[in-house]
Amino acid sequence: MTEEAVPVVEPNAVEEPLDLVRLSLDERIYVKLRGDRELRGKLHAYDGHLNMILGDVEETITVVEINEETEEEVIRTIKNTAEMLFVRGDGVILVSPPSRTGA
Amino acid sequence: MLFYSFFKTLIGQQVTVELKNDLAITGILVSVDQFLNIKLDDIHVVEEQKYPHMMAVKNCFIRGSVVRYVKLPASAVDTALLQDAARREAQQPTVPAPR
Amino acid sequence: MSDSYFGFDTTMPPLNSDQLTAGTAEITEDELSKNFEAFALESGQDFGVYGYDPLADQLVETGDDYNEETFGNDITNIGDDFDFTQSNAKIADTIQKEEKIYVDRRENVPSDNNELIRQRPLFSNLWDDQAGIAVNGNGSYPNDPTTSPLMPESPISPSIWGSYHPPSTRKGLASNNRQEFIQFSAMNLTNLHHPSYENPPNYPPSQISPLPPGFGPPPVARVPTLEEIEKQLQRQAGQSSTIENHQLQRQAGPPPQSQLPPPMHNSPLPEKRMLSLAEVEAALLGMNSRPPPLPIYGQTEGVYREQETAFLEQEAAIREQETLYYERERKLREKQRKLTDMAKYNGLMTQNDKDYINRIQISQLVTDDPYSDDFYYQVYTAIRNRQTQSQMGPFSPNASGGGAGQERRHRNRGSESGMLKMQQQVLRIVNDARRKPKSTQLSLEGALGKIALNSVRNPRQLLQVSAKHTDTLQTHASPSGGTHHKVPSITLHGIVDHRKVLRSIENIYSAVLGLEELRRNQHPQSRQYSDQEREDKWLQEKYTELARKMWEELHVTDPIGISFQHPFISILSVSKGKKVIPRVLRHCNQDQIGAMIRILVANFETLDVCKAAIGGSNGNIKQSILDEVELFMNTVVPPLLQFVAEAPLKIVIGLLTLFIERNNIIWVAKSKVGLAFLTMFLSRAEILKQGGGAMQGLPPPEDREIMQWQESYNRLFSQLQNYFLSSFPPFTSNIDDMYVWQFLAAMAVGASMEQQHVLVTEIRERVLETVVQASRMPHDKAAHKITNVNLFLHALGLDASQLKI
Repeated sequence: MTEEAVPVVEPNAVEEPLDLVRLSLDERIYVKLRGDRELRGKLHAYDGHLNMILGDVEETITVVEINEETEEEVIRTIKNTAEMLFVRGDGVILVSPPSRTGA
Repeated sequence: MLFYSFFKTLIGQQVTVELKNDLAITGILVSVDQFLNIKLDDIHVVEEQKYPHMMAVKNCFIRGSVVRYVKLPASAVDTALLQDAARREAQQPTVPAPR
Repeated sequence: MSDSYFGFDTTMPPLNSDQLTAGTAEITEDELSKNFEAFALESGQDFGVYGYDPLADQLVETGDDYNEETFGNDITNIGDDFDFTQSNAKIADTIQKEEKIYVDRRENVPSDNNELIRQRPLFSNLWDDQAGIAVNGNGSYPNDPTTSPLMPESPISPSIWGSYHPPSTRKGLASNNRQEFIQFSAMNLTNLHHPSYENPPNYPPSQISPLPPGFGPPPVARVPTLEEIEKQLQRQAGQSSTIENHQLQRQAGPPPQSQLPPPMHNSPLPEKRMLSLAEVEAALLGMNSRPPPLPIYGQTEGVYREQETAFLEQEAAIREQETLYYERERKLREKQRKLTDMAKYNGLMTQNDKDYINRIQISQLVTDDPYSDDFYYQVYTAIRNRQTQSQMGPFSPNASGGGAGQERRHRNRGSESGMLKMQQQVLRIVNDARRKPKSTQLSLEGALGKIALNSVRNPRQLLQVSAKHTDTLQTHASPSGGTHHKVPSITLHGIVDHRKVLRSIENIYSAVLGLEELRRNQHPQSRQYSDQEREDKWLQEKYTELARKMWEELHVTDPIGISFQHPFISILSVSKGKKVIPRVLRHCNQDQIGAMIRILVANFETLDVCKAAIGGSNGNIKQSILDEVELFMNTVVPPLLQFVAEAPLKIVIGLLTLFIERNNIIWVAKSKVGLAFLTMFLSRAEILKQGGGAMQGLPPPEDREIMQWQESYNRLFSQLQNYFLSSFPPFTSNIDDMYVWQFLAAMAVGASMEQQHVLVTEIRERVLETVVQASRMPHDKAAHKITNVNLFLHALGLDASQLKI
């Protein structure tokens, strides 16, 4: 993730951010969404709004609950899967290749 | 137009539309427009106990902007073709070349 | 005249107070103009500018001798010709105004419209059966709310026009009650249902309104006498008798609306019954605080003044519901007016007009090339159609671009022929739109709104940064950027490489998509250029250019050994890189394919599907790797197999030799793809040795070639000797080991007797184990196992059934 932030300037390569998304077509990507949601799945399609079709998706929702007795914050994650998912672009915060260490 | 084109091929398929308010509606995709507004038929809410107020509704129109996800049947998607379509969409010249 | 708005001296000319109080009617025009003239002289102001046109003085007033003949002068004998009341009724939506005008002309009619409205419903409530008609009498409400007001069926009710109308127009209304109603309304009496009011002979209608209604008093001026009010109050206070009360309430109730359905009509009544005396009094107090009505009716004023208080009380009780009902009435009327307003435009547009508008609208969605904006849908449906209608023949990417798509859809769906027609018709519009790409907006003639040409990829330009400026920016940035640049290239070597690979692959896809589109458009029917040759040449150049680009991006010709992994192998290590190979090969010539396969063979052991797909001792291989292997076998291998299957022996020998020299064969032979390649070479060589090349027009292999082949084969065999068993996946894995048996069969066919013996000795264990395993398996699985084993045994001239376990 941090590596991705470092710009790698290619000579004579005028790049738009969306061109980088294109490189991830047919690759697994990581998508951060509004509402503490994260998706991991294979990118099959995207458009300029970052609407996307993802395949073999795993959704992770992070819920912070406060334990009433101890008043401690309990972080709970909910995981869902979908074989094929359309994601509306207005909820997308960032799109990134998954960290290579995991792969 | 990519996703409009895409959703047109899914008409007649059963899809599950998850809205931004967490309501998830399963139904047959009847139609879609270029705003990705969606019409569903034979609908039922996924968590019926939680959202009983939709019980009597048999079909609905969903404004595209309130959609978070649409879960699709993978069998109805040609992923290779879809990727090509996405590439074409991405590489379309900003100004269409005159023919 | 005291208006100083224009900054004039507003001191009045010497008009005496008598003249002023006498009212305007007493001042003749002559007097006025005299006064003005005098004032103008005095003050030096030209009043003529503001009030009187001095030119009018010069008008010749003669020559009007025939005026009487032309216009008639017997105004008493106008007749019905100019009685527009009947036709007024036909213009229901303007009837309110008409009414006023009408009332102006008929002095014997109640002076105020509002008064009428307020009274009418009260009375009509008393005679419910006639309520509808009474309301219709107002002229603006047809009996049936659904009836168009343009064609009202209701007669003009006498309730407004009093006794003026001939009796024939009042048929059905001729009851006593009706008469009373007319009189009541005509006299502007209050709505109290009291005996003394049922016969009000004192005020003949003609005497009621000396002034036109426009100048009439507000309705509150007409009030019952004090007597009435007292009685009324007594009744309300003392008698709780429901009947009386009810009657009262009904009188005080809301005005009935004939358009409203009965339930609505009565709904507020129960609410109204709750009104207590205290409330009435309170309302009364409230009303009293209002300024008193203007005492203009000299004649009736004295009589009615005392009634005012009582009336106010009534009004207070009514007002609330009146407003409610008027609101409803107003809304209903508005709705109806809207409906009729819209009905005016019914049929204004022909179907052609509508189609034209539709076309313009659709032109914003449809383009001349359905593949450009609707690629997925077009191709997907085409593929689906091919699957469902196999008689249509295979889908060919060479089909003629957009035209083909349209034709296909036309054939398959008759219902879309209209759409097709429309598409053709909008072609011109769309092309026109495209010719003006510079403008951000464009309005087409007849289009509703404008067409925005801005898009995600072509946004509106907000900043205009000069090129010079960016240059300086870049030069400034470069020193710091240079150091910046080096850091990632060292630390992120792998990632940068990976991204490079991905970029290459995407560039390959771009080129392939371009090539495929060119092929689609090659169909001559899609073109109407007269200069066919030039067009062909242009297409050919473009095609060559794209093919060259694609070939460059494949990096096949890059020298080996520069980088850790050959770029082409890197491309093949990504799944989408594998997927694109069959499509790439369609645009490659045989030399290029040969170069590709040589690079592949020479770097075989660095392929992900080779190096990662070799399981350890337990043979566990990640599912993702197995998927990649499967993908490689389905995408890359078949076209290469086809190339090898047509290659002469010389090339096969070269490939096998390269394979043996450049790779650790023992290791590679543990991978499925490695064995697949070996099998491919071995079987092709065997076919050629046996003269199979003749069918492909190849000359039979020379003896020298066969010897070379044998040499290579022997090298391979000797290297693999003692390791044949290691090619098998472990028994514990569920991997189908058919590919190993295939390879062994290919080896066995080309082997000498000695080599066959070695083979059998090495593999024997595995054969027996497999057969034993098969005997414990369900029938179909067992059969498959036996078939696998037989692949090898048949090559040796044996069969599994001969084995004795």
